[in-house]
Amino acid sequence: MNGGARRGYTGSPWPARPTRWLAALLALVAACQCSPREDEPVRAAVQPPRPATSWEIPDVDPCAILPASAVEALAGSPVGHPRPGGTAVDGSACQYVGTGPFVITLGLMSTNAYESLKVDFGGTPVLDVGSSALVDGPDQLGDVTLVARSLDAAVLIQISGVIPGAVGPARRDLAERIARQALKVVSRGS
Amino acid sequence: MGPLPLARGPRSIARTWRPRWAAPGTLWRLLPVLLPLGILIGTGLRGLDFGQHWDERHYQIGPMETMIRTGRPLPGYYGYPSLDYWIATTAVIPDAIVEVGRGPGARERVLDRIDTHAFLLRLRTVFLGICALAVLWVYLLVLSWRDSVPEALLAASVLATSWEVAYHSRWIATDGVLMQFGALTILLVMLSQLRPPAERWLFLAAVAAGLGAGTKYPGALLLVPVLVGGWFAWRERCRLGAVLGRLAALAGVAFATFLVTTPAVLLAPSAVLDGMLVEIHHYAYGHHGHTVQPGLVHLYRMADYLGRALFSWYAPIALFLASLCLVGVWALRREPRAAALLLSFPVLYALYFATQSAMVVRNLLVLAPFLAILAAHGAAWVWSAAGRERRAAKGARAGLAALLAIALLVNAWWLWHAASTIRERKTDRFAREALAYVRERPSSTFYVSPRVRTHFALLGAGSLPNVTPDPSHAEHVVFYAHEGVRRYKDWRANRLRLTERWFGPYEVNFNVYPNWWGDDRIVVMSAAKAKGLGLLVVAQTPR
Repeated sequence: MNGGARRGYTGSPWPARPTRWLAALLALVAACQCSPREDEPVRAAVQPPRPATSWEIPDVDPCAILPASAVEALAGSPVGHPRPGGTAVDGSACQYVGTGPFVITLGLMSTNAYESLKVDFGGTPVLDVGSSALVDGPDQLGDVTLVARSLDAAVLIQISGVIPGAVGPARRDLAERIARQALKVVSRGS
Repeated sequence: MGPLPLARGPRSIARTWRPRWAAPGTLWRLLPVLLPLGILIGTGLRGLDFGQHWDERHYQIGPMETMIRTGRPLPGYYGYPSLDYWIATTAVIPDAIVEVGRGPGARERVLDRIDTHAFLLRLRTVFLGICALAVLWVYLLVLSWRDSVPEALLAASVLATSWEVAYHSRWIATDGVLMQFGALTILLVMLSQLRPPAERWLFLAAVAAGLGAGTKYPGALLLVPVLVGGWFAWRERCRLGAVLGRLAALAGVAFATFLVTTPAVLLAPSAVLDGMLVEIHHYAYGHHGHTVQPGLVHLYRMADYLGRALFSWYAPIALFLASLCLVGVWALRREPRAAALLLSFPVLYALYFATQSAMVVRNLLVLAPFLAILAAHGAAWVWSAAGRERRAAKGARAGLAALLAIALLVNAWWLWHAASTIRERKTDRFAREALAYVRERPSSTFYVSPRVRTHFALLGAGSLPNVTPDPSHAEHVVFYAHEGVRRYKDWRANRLRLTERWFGPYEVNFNVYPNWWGDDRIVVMSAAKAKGLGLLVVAQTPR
């Protein structure tokens, strides 16, 4: 029995404590390959409670969230009447088309869709929009995309094209301002 | 009397071509499978970071998080059995080891790690690896059955270079895993006939079938070929009562395995029943754009998909390989046992799904290994039928070999190309390609949606003479997919000719899944079709 102390229980040449080797290997895998990206730090031991999520989407027409005049005031450029702009993940969107040409898309989606999207979204966190927000861009086409959520609703803002007063980082600011205002309306409406 | 082995048949390619290294018993015979495996895994990894998937977060990772949070084997979601969640949990082990070593609060920290993009990619890697095993099982099956390395390699390559198989294999989803268990089950069942004693193979096959059922409820149908295999193995050497007893034991092993994968059946039976009923209702009454008339219409749509899309992005190649499947079925007519074993599951499974009102093609993925085996068998039959004496026959064989080689090379190239487009997400490549597409067709009239127009303008398109501002005057419409409909559920799925082209990542077959939540893409569609579908892009007042 003692003679087999350096062997596994079955007498195989496998080391006596394969779990130790396995643990070391797995730890190596975790340490080498699977550490979170810089933009997704693992939170400290004291966590804020995870926000509740749901598939509910506030029963609001996305084109009724912000009138064209409000978007014009934020963008500093005229836009046409809001028009159905397709989908925003699991919800709907509205488009404001300007002559730049530019398109501002305002989408409304569920908080579940937001939580699903944010894992893949990349981008950088925005601190003062809703309870959680991420912004990405401008990308190679100059698009800026921002997603944000409050307790019970989430929005997606996408800015494409040329807006004279919103170039570079200002496009992010514009997206943030639109998101802030939209979340305020949607949360009040829901 | 021992179990009767399956007839290997007189027409194996092995009889006409077998190099020395491919002789039975040599380990070298296994090496060729590394090629299709490498293609599937290599291109799979290359395109792993494909973006958002509808179900991964809430129906795969979420239930696994629930199990970790509560420390109980109850994921709380029972639309699927639980094996996937156990697989996902194993991917957490490295994190768990690291965090436990860091002291108290490990569970919360592990849950935070699960919420990261890095974990998502790791989990996709695990699922890709499991799905890829189907290629190995198919290779081993054909090698054992036909004793032919070329035929085995062909079957494995047909499966591994299928784009439908490839992109589904990247998903954290049940379907690729079930495909793998389907291939494993039929491998073990075939081995039960080829390498007696049958018992050990059949009980292993029952375990594999139970794991299949533990992956996805309809996977329980995998038990059918196991029972058929048991009947073949035992009916001539045992009394009927003994045979039935053994078959019941096989079913019992499969059910016990299922229970191990999904202990909630015992611990929370009403919740599991609710989950199953929701899915039954879901498939019985349709699923938005995936809704289809049950019966012959559904069967036709499945055949259309399996024939024109499953084996290749290019319909002629898909049709060629699918037609070899039919030849393979024909070639089985003199091997009734092999026919019963290989066809019982796919036929029953297809018929079962044909009775449903929802067609989500990922459910059909489990048929792919069976069809790949049949395609290779069909090719081998054609090869042998051509004979080898006459000159014309040699030409026919060379032609067949060339066609197969071209088909598989094109498929492999497509997998690489598709993965490359995924790596160029969030670049201007696709807008440039769409602009070039419009420019190169001056005789066609296009309507371009507002957002695509802004991107064309940024690329310096200027005024394009073949672009009209009024969609009613256009032959084709160009728009971002997300601009198409008000709700993603409004898209009608499974239309293989939905688009003329799309410019964006090829992480999914958009024609099949236009309701995809992932990256947006520029779609080119005939204006008539867009109008017929009621798309927003043709319904709006021109600007």
